[in-house]
Amino acid sequence: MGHKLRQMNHHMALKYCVRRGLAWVLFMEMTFVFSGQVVVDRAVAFGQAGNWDQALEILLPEMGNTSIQSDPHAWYVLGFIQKELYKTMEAHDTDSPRRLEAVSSLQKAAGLKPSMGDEQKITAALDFLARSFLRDAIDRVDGFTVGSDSEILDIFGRYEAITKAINPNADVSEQKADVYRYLGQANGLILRGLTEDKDGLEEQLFERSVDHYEYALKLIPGDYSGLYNLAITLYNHGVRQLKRINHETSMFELMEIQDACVALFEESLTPMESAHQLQPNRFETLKGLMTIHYALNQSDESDRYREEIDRLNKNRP
Amino acid sequence: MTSTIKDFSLKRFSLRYKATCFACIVFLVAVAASLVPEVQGDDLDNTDTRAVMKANFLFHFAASNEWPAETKTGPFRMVVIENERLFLELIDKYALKPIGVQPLEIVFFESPSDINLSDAPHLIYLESSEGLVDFPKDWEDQPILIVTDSDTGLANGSTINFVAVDRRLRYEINRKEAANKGLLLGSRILSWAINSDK
Repeated sequence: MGHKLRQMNHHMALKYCVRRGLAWVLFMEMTFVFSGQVVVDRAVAFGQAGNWDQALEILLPEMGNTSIQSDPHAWYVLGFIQKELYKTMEAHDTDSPRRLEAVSSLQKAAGLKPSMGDEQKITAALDFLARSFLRDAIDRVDGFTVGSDSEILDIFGRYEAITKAINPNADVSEQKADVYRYLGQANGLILRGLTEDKDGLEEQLFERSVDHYEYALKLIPGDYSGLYNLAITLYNHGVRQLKRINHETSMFELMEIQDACVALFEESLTPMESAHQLQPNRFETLKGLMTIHYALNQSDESDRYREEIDRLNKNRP
Repeated sequence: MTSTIKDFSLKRFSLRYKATCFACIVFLVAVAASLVPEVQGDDLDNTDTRAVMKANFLFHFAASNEWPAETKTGPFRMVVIENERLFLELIDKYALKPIGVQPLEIVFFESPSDINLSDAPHLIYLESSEGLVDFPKDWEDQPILIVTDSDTGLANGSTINFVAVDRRLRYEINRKEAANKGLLLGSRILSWAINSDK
């Protein structure tokens, strides 16, 4: 009987210890989690007070903490803080590291099955960051320098990648076509301003300009502006060759230059005609066709467009 | 007092009405402008491409043909009739360039009747060959190279006539006419003519 009592006491003591131990582990676990959540909440509080540096200082070291490492909300908060720091301190820096970190954090949050509320906020934040890349790409075209095409396209590529990560069915063809068209114009502007052809730069700029326009038209066929600008680029390049003719040009060279120019003028005819078909009453395409046919020694066709211009001029109010 | 107030009210109404109309027009124009797609980028180069080609051809006609010895004093006179753009292109790139020992002088006239034989031109360019009838008969035997750009150029008496072949500017020659004038067409000029065997 005593033995049985001793056994019972031992068994109960063991159970008691196990329960106490489990409770202690659970308590530690909860404390751990609770302290991770506290850090996030503190970071949010700092952020709401506009103190983004402090918010980041508190939260970033804790992101290696297992309790919040897989917490989508924590990653969202981190991404948001990094986004705000980018906005306040690095908005003019195309290579902003904060922006890249923000994208990374927000994408991580998106991949950890966030709550519906957080998901919307994450999408909005990523969309903002994606558009900042698009804006930067277009700003870079404004300050275009020779050879910066690939850099600009890389920046645009980031916009495209983030946008498609948010929505795989997103179609960015229009924006892409715009960027390519702007690059075509940018190269064309520098080409027009060249006073001498050094190291084959003229041909490089011309080919890049044409390639960009053609790619833009592949993305959005039937774009009036793209067609017209492509036609002008081809035609003007032909005229550029012709204008180099002088008293030292031999007859043979003259014929060769004429052949090259005619090829360019003929090539410019197709996009100009396409642009004209899209908008038959636009003066610039009528003038373009009149001029190209004139350059191709096709007086009848040239005169036909001249008459069309005169007719439209007369009918103008 | 009442009528003054009324006048003032009417004037204010009228002014307000005009301002509203003006604002509407500006708005409509802005909307219309925004609907027309912008065409940005290069402007069309307005260079007269045919004038550029013709000018170089004329320079070659001057430099590569042979005139009688008695015409080789003083400047080499090239006369351009009717085509002012061609004249300007010639002036820009070829004026005073040597034609043998003679500096090239380029002169412009509005019509064939403005030229005198005393001007002693070596080469005359005119757009249409109809103008040839205005030249005096005693010019026919003078060593003046007449260049035209007309369907009936050679038939009307020019020595060289520009033609369009396969979208390119080329020229045809009248050897007999050249010989009558005492002009010797150079081999280079002959070889590039489209009818060099005539």
